[in-house]
Amino acid sequence: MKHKKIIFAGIIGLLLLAGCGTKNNETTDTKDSKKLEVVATNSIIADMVKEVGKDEVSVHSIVPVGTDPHEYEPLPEDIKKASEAEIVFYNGLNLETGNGWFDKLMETAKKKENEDYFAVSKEVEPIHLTGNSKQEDPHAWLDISNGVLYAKQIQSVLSEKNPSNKDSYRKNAEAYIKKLKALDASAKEEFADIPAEKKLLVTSEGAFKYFSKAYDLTAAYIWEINTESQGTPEQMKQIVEKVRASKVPSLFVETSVDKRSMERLAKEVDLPIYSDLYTDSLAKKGDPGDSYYKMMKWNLDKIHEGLME
Amino acid sequence: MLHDFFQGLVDYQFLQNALLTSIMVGISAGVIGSFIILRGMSLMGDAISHAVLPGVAISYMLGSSYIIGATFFGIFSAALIGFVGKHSRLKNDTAIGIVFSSFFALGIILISFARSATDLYHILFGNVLAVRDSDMYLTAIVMVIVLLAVLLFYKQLKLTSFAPTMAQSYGWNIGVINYGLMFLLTLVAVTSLQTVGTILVIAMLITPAATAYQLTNKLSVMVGLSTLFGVLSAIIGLYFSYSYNLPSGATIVLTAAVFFIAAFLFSPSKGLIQQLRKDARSAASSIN
Repeated sequence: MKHKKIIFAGIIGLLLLAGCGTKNNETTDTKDSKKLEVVATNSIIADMVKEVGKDEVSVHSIVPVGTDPHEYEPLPEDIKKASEAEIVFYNGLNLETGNGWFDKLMETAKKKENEDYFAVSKEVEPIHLTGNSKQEDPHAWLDISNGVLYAKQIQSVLSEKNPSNKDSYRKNAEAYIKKLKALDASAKEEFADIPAEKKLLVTSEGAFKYFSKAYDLTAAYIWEINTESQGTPEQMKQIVEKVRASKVPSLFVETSVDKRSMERLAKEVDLPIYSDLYTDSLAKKGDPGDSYYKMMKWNLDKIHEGLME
Repeated sequence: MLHDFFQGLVDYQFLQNALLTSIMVGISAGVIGSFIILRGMSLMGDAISHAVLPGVAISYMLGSSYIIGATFFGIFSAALIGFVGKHSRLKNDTAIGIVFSSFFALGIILISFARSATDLYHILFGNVLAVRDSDMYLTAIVMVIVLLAVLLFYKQLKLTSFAPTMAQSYGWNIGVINYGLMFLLTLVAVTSLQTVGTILVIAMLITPAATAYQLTNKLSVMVGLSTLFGVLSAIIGLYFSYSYNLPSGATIVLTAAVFFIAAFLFSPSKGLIQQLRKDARSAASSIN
């Protein structure tokens, strides 16, 4: 009898706890209930959605700032937000396929492709990996002209899903795109004065292929995709030879990777690591690269400065 | 091809560091590993190298060196495993399972709070080709500590490994010797984790020592052979990795495994083939 009582009390306790939990969540949700609920897979896409949607949308970003978007385990809140969202934006081009987390999440949330969830890279012309020509390189947003295509795609999906705010989306997108294009144009002008023998952009991961194509550099890297970071000697050898053969004055390292490999390379070729660069994620709020525009400006400025050393 | 490898060693500092560091890990892990496997604590290295994760996350949050936080949690987990094993009816492997999975889970939660810009798990997957000079020196210091400690306390370690009750009757404090060994194991695991990664540490702790155990019954010979196999695995593994463009850590691990398979099959006293031959002989004699 005594045992039964304890078990009963325990169950009641658990129910009470569970009740409190859901109650709290509901109160936070009702605040934004009039806004269009949008989920984006990472902080960069979320920032673009905010720029285009402004006050009409409420955005939840799944992969936190600083975390690798290739491999991610969604938290309960991500699943909840994704289920409730009217629109889910993802990058596509294999970015979210690392361990298949995004497909699984969409299945759990009962969402359909191009009805509920949309790839922002739809209009982008993909560059393929050199190691595996069947796979597309995901890092398209590092070329601002692709960022413009992302913004247009976001605008068209938002307008389609929420026609009553169509005009405001168009206005926001136009202003945003103008700003991005201005940055792109001035960067292209600046990059033209880098001497040809220094036009080598050395990073850990091969994330800068779109970027290098846009700004007329050659991308060199230790490994092509992050899953290959458990490297072979050949990887190090080829990058050492490439750097030695060029007159490149400085190296760069991404904020989201383990810096030890780049530090090793810097010692090996006796060149400085000039700066951190943002690739897969924005910076923490308050740091220099905390929006897509600012992150691209940071990357462009630092790479230009570094290569002009 | 051998010439290419030597030329590579001359040309590339990363290869020199990789070779030196993996040889040093081979030596310290080979020595400690012999005592670890004799005491039936093979999984301890595995447990410690995962249990350090909360320490890594906390060090990141406090902005201090990973080594300190990781070592603290490594020793803490070893002590906890010993404590749970001693004060419950559970066997050691069960205690190891509980403690290391809980610590690892705690680490995952702390990492999600730390919101680091870099993936903190990378500490578990160090890359032997990206060894920094400072990490290499640290590996050297740990190797010296391990060798000195084992030389000084060889007698104590030997007796407590083989005849703990006899050691106790001498009035020795077995607990202290045990924790001392755990401390050394943690030092080796934590420093090599940083430089060569989890898989290589676990393999280097267990496989060369197990290979040596197949070949001898004498502890001093076993320690020597274990060290030798660790060093040979490092050199040969790195050579194959460089010549055939294979991931270095994994190639070293498989080289150590090849040594073990050879000893497992062909050991003159304990090998499988020798055993089969003995069985056949005794079967034949029983028929006669």
